[in-house]
Amino acid sequence: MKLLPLQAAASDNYLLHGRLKGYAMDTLLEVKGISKTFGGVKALQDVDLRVEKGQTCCMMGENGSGKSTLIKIISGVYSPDKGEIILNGHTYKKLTPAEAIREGVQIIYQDFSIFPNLSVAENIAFPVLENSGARLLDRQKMRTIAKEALDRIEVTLPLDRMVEQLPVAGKQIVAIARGIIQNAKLLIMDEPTTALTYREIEALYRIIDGLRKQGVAVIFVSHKLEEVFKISERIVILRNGRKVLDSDAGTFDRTKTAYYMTGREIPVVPYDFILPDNNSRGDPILRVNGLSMKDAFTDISFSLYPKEILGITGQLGCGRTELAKALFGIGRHTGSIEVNGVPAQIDSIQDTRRYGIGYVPEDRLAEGLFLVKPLTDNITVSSIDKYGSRRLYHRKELITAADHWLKELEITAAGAEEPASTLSGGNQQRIVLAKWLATDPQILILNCPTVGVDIGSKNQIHEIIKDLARRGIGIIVISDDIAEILTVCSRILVMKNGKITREVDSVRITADELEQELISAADEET
Amino acid sequence: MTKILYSLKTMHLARLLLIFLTTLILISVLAPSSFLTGASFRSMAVQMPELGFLSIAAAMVLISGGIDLSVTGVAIMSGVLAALIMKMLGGTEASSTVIIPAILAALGIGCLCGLLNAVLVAGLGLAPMLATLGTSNLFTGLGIVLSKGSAVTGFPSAFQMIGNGSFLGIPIPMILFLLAISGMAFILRRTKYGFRLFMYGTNPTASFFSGVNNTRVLFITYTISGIVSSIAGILMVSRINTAKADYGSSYGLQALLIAVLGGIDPSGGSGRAIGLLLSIVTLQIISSGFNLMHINAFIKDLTWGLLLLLIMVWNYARQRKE
Repeated sequence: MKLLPLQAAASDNYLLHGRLKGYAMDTLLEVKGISKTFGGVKALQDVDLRVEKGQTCCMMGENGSGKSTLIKIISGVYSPDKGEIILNGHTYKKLTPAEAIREGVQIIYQDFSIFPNLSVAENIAFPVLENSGARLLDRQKMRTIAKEALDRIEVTLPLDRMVEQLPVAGKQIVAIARGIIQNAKLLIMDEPTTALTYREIEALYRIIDGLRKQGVAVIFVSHKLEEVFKISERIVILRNGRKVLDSDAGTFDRTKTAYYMTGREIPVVPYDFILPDNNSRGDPILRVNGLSMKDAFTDISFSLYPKEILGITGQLGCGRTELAKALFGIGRHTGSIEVNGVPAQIDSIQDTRRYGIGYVPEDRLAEGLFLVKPLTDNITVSSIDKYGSRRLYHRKELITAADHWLKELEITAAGAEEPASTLSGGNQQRIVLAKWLATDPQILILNCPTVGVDIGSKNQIHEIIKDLARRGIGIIVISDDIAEILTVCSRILVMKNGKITREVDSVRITADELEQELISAADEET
Repeated sequence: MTKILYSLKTMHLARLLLIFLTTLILISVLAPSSFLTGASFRSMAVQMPELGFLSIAAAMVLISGGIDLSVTGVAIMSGVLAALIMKMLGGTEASSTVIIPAILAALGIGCLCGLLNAVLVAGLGLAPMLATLGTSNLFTGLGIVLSKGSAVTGFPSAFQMIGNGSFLGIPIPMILFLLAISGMAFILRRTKYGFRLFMYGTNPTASFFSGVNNTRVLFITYTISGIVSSIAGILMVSRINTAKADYGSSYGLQALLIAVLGGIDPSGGSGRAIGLLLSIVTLQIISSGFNLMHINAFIKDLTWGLLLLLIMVWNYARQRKE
């Protein structure tokens, strides 16, 4: 509530700023007093939003803040309980998806909703032909439509290539082109950069910029602060179903973002670990020497000491995930691995468990969790050997262990017998961590530990990681989130093309330098 | 949510119990003179276990998220093998000790069949449905070849005792079946293998990344399925005193349906032995009741099918509501 005056000031400022810059201030979309309730939960409360033609607006908020609900209301998927939507001057109490498309609203979902088994041309032209009422397919026309769409965003793609053969960025371009050719006036993109490399993100920015010049407005949903400031003219932050901030990007104080999103101040305490000098440091818990894997990485060597948090960063496809998996016993590698100064034969996950190595995978839902199973089972699955006798166990023992970890990692859950699906992303990630902590690991490998986790839980998970390291576990954090790497890790390895190209203490490099390092990696690759 | 899930689980059991009681009362009322007699219960207790063992075999694989279409194939081949061994060692005249190598050979071949399925599914990564459809034909075909397509008959009386004898008034097959279903309950609830089986069935990728030895879980599961199926085969041959390669071939799909009716989730990861027991008892009561009332056997099949569909639609509707 206290925020209200500031919010008003920010929007005034925006209008003034906008006018000065000389943008055409024709309103494309106006949402007035929208409220939406799902089974007693207020997803949106009295939200107003205005988007002008050709404006790029970034929408931020934690999971459950109401972003997706608002997007779905604008695109006609949900109808609001209260309020109205004005598109191109037409007022709607209830908007259908067909009406939204007619008014030029197009959404690019995270999975792009494309047909992987059809060609680029077919995917792009399909909706146009579908709406034309023609009963026969005109292949030539299809190609013309697709070509025209790609020209508008100044990209070339092989028209006859199956979409499933394209990289993620290519699929995204197909989805954008498909939206554009349907006369899009407002393009809504839901976390569009999640699976892209730096280079591809730059290309996406150029496309968005081009669209803006053609008068297409873009609403960009994102978690990543850096890109928000790079791309958008305006920032809207939702929290608990209310709009708490609507500001011009230029005048917005970025250090306040976390505060607006979570409603509380989050202090950032960097992890301070100084490697003892050569004489007193003792044996590393993990020493990797000349590790190589075909088509993934070559000649990787590094050491990890107890209490250390080592960051490995690099862009998508640099071999970081393969390296993490190799250390966890997945895939065939050459070279040597030593644990506590003793050569270790690591060929399977069962091997790595014996050496006390745990791995938190990147894809929490597919690789980490058993969603329908109780938290108890999720937490004890890797440490089941510890309980009961050799072959038998009592469920009570598992529940006791699970309760312990729920408390230890401050996991918010109604009880240990709740299924994992009921938890938020941040809490789910802690469950995966707990699973490995229950095995008493001495080395933990965390692959993108906070991907898809909202900013509040993110900081809490970072604190947990630091705390684990302080207790003597050696931790490797693999991530392309620069801010994360810099706050959590004490030492950073940069990977390019399957090789380590730089090693640096995190206190000796700034976020901008590290980002430059990654982008230059991308340039050398091509 | 847990409460919902738990009540869903127990709901399913409660529903099964309700159906069980309804059929029991209905049949008792409709045919009291013939149904509520020792003889009719005895005949049910003799018929039920064969299908019961096959259902246990099918259920274990269903919990892993796979499917075993070869259960009857294994039963047939094991039965034929046991029969041929006894025949070779003297037939009716042979001493009762020859049943030991015969039974061991049958169980052994059941174990091997299970291992073959496991190699195809876990080792080579074939889809369980295709792998076991193939081996089902292979095993049945081997049974036919071994028996040269004709019925093998004439075994020592000790062997016939297994399928037809009783202990303290309870038919031996029933005792064996109750032991097996208790064993299944114990495996699922108390052993670490059972825990891993549920986890694997829920999400094989996550269980792999959690350090579960997926291959091992599958090998154990398919081997159990093979051995349990071969017990069904031994019981069948013993009860009718004949081994025939085409006997009971319709049991395989029925066993799967019983498992699903008993609340074993065909997508894997959940199921309980008690549900399986209720499901099979209910279907046996319907089947026997219909026989006693002289209702056409085809109507019986139709009723089974309807009941199964009803239960599944009911479950689905409930889940959607949640």
